[in-house]
Amino acid sequence: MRRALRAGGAVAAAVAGGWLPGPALAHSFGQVYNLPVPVWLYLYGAAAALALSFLVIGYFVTVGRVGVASRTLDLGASALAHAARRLAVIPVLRAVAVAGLLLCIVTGLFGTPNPYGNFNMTFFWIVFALGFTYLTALAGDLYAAINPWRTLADGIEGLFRGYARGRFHYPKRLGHWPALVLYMAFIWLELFGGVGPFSLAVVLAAYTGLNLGGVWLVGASAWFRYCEFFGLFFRLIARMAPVDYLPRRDDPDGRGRLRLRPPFVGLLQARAPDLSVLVFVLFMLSSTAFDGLHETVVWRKLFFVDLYHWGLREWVGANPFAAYPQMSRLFGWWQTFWLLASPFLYLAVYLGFIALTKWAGRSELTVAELARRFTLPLLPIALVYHVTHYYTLIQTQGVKIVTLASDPLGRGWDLFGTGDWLQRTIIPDAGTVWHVQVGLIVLGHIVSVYLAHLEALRTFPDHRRATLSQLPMLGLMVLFTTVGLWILSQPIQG
Amino acid sequence: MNKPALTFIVLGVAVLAGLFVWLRPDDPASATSRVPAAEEAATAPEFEIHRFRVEDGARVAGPAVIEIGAGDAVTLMVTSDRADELHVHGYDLHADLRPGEAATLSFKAEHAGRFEIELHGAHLGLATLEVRPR
Repeated sequence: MRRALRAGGAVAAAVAGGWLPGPALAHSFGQVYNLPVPVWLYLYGAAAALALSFLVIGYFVTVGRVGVASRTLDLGASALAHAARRLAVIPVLRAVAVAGLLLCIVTGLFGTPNPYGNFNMTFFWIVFALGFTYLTALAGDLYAAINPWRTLADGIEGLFRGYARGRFHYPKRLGHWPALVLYMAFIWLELFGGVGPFSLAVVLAAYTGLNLGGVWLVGASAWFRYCEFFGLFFRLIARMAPVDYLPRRDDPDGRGRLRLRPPFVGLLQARAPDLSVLVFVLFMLSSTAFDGLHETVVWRKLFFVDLYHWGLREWVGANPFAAYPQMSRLFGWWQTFWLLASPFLYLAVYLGFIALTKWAGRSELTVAELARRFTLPLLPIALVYHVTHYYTLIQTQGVKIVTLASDPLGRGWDLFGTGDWLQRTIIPDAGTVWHVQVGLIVLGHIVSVYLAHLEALRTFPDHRRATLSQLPMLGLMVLFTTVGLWILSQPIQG
Repeated sequence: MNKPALTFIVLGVAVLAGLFVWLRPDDPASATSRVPAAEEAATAPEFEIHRFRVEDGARVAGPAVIEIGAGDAVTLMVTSDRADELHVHGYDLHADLRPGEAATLSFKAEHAGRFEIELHGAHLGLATLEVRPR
């Protein structure tokens, strides 16, 4: 929300003196009040992740083959499902989603420019982008049924038959790359776009136009499968949910699905179809890690002190006062570069470990095939990264949607009588936050290690090779987890 | 649940508990105090007044980070050359600044966390208040 305005003269002296320029760029998600995790808790989390990983391996060695828990409970014919159909829950939610989208655009265009006073910032960034993600992890892929852009496309199709059929065949070799590109643009906007209520409305309107144009071009089913990135994001998150929901129209059998299953087993019921989904999953990990890292003292020092003294000084000039404006411009590019490069960096590391996995397990499968098979088991780590970084925002800012709903434009209205609720921010207790963060990261890690081992038992011909293959995999996951914890423990640039 | 699974869950809990006992500092308060983020971020004694001066939309005097413990009293004294509004995030405290006049804002920092202190008019992140839990 606030751009790098903290520059000024004092800053330059800082570059020389070790005091760092610190625009603690509050990202669009809002203000996080968390303190860095204390060192001992960081060490605890890392040690626990490592020790428990070996216990998981020990467990598999002891019991031999473990079947994937596949018990499910079909709810499609239950009283609950009948009631939902009778009350037209899905059609109502589709209407609500479209109304929410339009309201975000309208409030952004005509409401207050104050990000905390406008309905759209809190509704889009916190309630939708964070809250709905966590809801999806619990309740399944509701988004597939209520995607507002899909509803709009259906509406247009109703008026102009043939619109949603598409003009061109979607080129298969594009895979899910368009979704990745859009996801990257979204995260870039979130971190560096300096998005306010008005610009958010413009972006949402543009994204609506893009979706409707995309549907016209390649047809609704290809567009929403390969290009609309929220769809892919929620589809991946929903694989971890204990509710397996598939809307009727997305089911090749035309029946739809509503089943209960053990949490996370959905990740073993499918595999990443191609490399683009692997990079998408890695970007879920790396973008959250980058978001945490780019606010830390270490990260800023690396650029403004180390890189400056190491080489940039020759280029921007030895006088730090004069060099500062250029340094901050370069820093912007530097940050964008690392954000966009981060999933490919992770990919290189991941493929390295997969090659080791192949070698340790003496697998005949190619590295690419193995990489595809072990993609989805990474998702629990990605989810807990995400939750630990952002969940407090739901408590501090998300709940204010109750207040904002009464006054969406920030004009002092009180439509529902909730306009003066929750005036004080509920600040989460720092100790609780730390323990939740470390606890969730260790939990996500263990789930990932466990799932990867189950996948190994399916992939490798015998038990011994499966176990050996999981030693490098364990190294990879301990690396991801420790990096995540380390970032949480780093002092943030003031 | 099968027997090995149960055994390993018990083992896992034992490992977690053992590590916790081993790594947890005896005095949690001391473990949470870290090296100050910036050199000028001195640990302030209670009731110290943190003075800031703002000129041309930039901070020319005052600390970048104020580090205190939960429950401490904080007093901010801000002088700006332009009219502005001082805002402490989280605590949601506001004070009006008149050009050239020092405005003070005193409160008890009961909640632990990192809080931005901001000047709304200048869009200036004035400082960060870091309140450590006790």
